[in-house]
Amino acid sequence: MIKRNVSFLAFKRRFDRWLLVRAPMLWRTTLLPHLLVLLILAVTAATISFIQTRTIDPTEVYAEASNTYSSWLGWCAFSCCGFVQ
Amino acid sequence: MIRWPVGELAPHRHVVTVVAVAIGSYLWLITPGLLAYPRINAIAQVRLSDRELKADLAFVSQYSDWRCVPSDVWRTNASELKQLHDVSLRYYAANVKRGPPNESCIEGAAFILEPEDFSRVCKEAINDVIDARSFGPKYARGNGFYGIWIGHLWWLLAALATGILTAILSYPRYVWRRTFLQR
Repeated sequence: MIKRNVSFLAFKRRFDRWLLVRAPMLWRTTLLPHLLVLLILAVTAATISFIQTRTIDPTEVYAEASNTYSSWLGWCAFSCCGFVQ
Repeated sequence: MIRWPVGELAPHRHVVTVVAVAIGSYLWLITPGLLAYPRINAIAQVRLSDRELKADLAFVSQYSDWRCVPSDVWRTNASELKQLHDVSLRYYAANVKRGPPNESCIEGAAFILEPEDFSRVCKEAINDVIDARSFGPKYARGNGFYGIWIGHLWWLLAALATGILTAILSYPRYVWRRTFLQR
């Protein structure tokens, strides 16, 4: 267990260093980790709202198509807000 | 406060920043479209053949979208009434009935179909299935799902622009930190 932790920490340190050396400007702002958390949350929420697990009936097509388009527009607006932020 | 000389950042470090941010931005931008793909696929897989869809589209478009239905349709044409019943249950999930006379029709004695949005809803549903089936790189601009396709060049350009902007805007902060916060 301890050995695994040590090797994980060593990997993490090496990865941080590798990233810092190659893209130093990416990690110069504290905003980036927050944006990454926001991104993960947004993708999770979007996946739940878009999930489609069954074959739809012709009677549902009209509602399903307009829902798909409006959800897509909503998430595009959310993405743009994320960018502006 | 001690000021240290700031070395210029090597050009390839700027390129790495632009590429990294552009890739992240591209994924961020196309995610909503990518997530919509399974839904469009589900719409495309509705159990109706292309021939049935075309026949139904022609049927719901007749009589000026069923706003000017000649009176003899209600009296004599049993097969057409049955087809109307089938189509309304297929796409509209409700029965339709003869409405009040429509004075604006040029055919003479004609009636409107109630509910009035029957034809519009059916046509949109049929066109949505047709659009979903033709969704892809070679579809027409009139496709209802046009904007959702992730292969559009504008996503790539927006992502690249974000990468370049990030590199430009973050550089002064980088220089500032290296100037004043260096140990």
